[in-house]
Amino acid sequence: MKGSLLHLMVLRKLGYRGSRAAKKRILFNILLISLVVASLVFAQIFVVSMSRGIADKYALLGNGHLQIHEHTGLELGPIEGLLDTQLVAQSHALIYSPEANKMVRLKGVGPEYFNEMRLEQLSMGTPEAGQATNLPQILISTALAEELGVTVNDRVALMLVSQNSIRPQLCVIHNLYDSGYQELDANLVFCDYELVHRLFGGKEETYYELLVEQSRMQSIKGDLQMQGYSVTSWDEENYSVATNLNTSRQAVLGVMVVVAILCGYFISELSRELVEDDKHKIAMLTLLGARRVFIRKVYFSTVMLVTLVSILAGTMAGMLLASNLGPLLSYIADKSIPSLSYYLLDFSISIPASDILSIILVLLFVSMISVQWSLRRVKVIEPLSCTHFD
Amino acid sequence: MMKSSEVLSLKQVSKSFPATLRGGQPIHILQQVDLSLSDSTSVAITGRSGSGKSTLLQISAGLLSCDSGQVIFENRELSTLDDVRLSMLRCRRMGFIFQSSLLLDDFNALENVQIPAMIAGCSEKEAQKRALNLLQTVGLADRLYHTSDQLSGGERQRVAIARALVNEPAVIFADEPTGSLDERNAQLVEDLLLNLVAERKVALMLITHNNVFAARCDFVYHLHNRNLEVDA
Amino acid sequence: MPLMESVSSPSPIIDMQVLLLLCTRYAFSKQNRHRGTSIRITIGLGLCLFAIIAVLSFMQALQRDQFDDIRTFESFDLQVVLSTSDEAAARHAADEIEALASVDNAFIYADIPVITQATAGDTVAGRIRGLEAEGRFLSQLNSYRGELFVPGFLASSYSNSRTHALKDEVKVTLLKKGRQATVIPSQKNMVIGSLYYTSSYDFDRATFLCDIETLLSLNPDVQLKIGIFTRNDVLEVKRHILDLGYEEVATYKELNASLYGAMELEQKMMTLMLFLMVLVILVHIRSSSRRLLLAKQREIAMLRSMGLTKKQVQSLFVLQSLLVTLIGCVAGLVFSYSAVALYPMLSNVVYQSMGVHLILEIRTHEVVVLVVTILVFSMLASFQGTHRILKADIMEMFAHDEVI
Repeated sequence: MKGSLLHLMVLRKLGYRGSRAAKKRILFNILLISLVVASLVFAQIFVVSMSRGIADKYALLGNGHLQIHEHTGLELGPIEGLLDTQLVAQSHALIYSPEANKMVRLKGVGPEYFNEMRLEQLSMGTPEAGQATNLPQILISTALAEELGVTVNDRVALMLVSQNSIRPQLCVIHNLYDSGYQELDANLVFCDYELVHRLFGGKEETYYELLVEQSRMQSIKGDLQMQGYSVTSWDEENYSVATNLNTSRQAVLGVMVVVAILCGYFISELSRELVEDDKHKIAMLTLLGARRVFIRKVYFSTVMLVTLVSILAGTMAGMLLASNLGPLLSYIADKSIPSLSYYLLDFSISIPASDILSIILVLLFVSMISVQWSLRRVKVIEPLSCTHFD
Repeated sequence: MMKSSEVLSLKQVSKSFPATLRGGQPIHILQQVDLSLSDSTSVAITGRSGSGKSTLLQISAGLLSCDSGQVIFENRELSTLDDVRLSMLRCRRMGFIFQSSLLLDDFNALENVQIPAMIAGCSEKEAQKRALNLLQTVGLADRLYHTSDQLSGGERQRVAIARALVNEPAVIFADEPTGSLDERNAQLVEDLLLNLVAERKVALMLITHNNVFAARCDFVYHLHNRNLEVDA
Repeated sequence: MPLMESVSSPSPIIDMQVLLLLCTRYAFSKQNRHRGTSIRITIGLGLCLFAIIAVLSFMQALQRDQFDDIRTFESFDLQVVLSTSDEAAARHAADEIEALASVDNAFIYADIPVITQATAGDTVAGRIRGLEAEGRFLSQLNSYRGELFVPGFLASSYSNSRTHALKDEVKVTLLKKGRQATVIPSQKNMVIGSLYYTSSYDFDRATFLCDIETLLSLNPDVQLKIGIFTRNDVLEVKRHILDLGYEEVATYKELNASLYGAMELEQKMMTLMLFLMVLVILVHIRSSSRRLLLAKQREIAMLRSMGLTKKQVQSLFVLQSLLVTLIGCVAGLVFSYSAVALYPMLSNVVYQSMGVHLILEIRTHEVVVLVVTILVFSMLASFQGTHRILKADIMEMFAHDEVI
């Protein structure tokens, strides 16, 4: 009986068969809270996806998820979660063209290096047929090409330092790539593994790049270390980048939580309004014998239902918006705005469930507490006040 | 053409309202009503509930527009005045007393009376001085700083009377000023209002159910069948 | 009052007085529990403004810290690129620039990209910076071992000292202008005569230091530059240098335009996100103004019958919300400035957790823009919430409980 009465009263408060004004008020509040939640969810997804995108770039193109610092002859048994193993040789060289020169990281890789996962991280140009040449071929980024003033099939020189001499090594640019993240690719040059080995005569750094499932990275690292291998992860190799990404994510989450707290608190304004508008009705209800606990339950349920519906709608809207961000980001990327060169604009959307859940739980918790606090007013409304007029 | 001592003249005034707020068949409230009010004259309008007495008062005061006819107040046709001029006219030449006193809850008695004077252009000091005098006249010298929730019904109406008189209006429009008062307070308010309007030579248009109160006015009209009849 | 021949308005000052009297009372009216709402809005706005200013100050302090390193060690306050490799001409230019008011130091410097190779074969890819160290660069450069800027010797950073230790002989490889080819590689052995460190890890990892003569002996054709430290507005100094006839002058912001732009963008994004909080409060300002108006309909009808115009009544409700907002903004500013004043007591905690000494500042123009934006938005919110209701006829307000 009480359950159905609660049901009836809550529905009426929500505007079902109620006045237009009541419906408008409820809808307005749902819209407002949904908008705020959508903004929070969208912002968090955006920042986390960009961070993960940057991390993926560094992992897949830069250093691999894990690096095993062994020269050659590594034989790993089957490891669950291990996706790819590549032997890589790297060193530094000065690359110079007629117009400019730059210090670059020369990375020698095998023919299987650019697998599907890595190819997803960059866009390759189309090699053009040039003059037949015996010169070694290298792959440079479009950013580096622009800096050096060169293009596909142009010749550049690598200045190589060996034990006894320095020598220039002419190369031809076989192709250009673009990872979408200049901070990484502006000084990253790819070439054949054997070339690096030949050019640096064993002085190059050789290691194995492992691509693993993200969720298993730490466990695989631990297992390999137990087997006696020297293993580092991409975030250890790029400590400042990883720290910055983490800090950005935490900072944004912190801001989102603060906004959620404020939003949660102001949800209680809705319950205050409802109680204030209905104070004569509440007085009448108490006069008719309704308990204040029941009355509080009605308003609490009404407001929390509005909050839950809004959170659901807002979360879905935020996720939908974030998922459809690709075309806009591509358009912005094409504009080549200098300030945005520090950011990645080509990344896939990943939903940070734990972050979003944190925001939602904070909002729910704060709104529950603040609504309960605001409903203290119900205690103060006396039955006889229904006979008073303002 | 208004006579020289006429302050208010209604000529062939008609008014109807839709059946509900959202439209419907119109309800005719007033039909070609004529009324004139001279200065220093009191006119009472009686009639049963829903006959249109309040509507007639509101049209006379420019608070409501009529469907047809003319309302001429001190040689000005009210329908020709814009909102600013009408507001100023109401402020300086009219006073209002309603059944519920409609005092401003956030202000005390003194402030409630001085605010219309300030709206009319008086300095705060001058307005306060006038308000003080009037409140003393209505016998509320010891309640100057009390807000409306601290005053009784009769006291609130006395403040309303003082407020209506602060700008020395030409006409006071009183809509059931004693409607929500007990007999004793109603009598007090009646006496006060009539004495003050006579003393200050202010015209009075009074809406009342109280025939005894109405009979104390110079003229009594009865609103019946959408028109005014002289009350026998 | 005599009979008026014409109806004219009272003076605007008196109008304003009446409106201010009414709006101050209405802003914290007890009716409809509006006072509690106004107080909550005030506190909420104060805290939001404080949060925005605090976060911005923190971000700016972090960025300023980062840029301090750039200004001190990397690109200095200003940089003039000379079209000469002649040391005497460069010195003359430096002296001329240093003579300008607001210039603390002007000194010659140049960078050449190099690859250094230690005896054990470890290489470092970076640059050699040769300069006549002065001013902030010299005062903030820390000598770890040995004497810095001894002619003929290189200074290596402490970060590289594992492979390039004190007294090590290293092979320096660089590019020089060739007679036939555009550039040719050149190699020279040099000794690490000292070790240094700075507060910039990125600078230390990639830079070897020496005096300008040593650098010119490595590459006489290197394009020389003048590094400048100023005490006043950098742009003003730039203008004076341009007036002297030097063409290639750039400030540290221009040289790091992308980074600077990215930092500014980050700040703006963060402000926008935090502004969400203000928007939530603005919506409540709108609804509280509306609710106040609805609760005061009969009073408003009375005020209208007393002679207040529609515009004045509208202004009244906008002003009352403006007052509440203004008090909130003032509270926020008080919190913010107090926090900045008290921050030195907490700076040690920040240093321990972040490893940086931050100096918090509040940029006045940003605060002004924020406050004005909030005030304007609150006026608009209040206007939007009330103007439709005020279109109603006076007597409708008397007759109906709620005019929608």
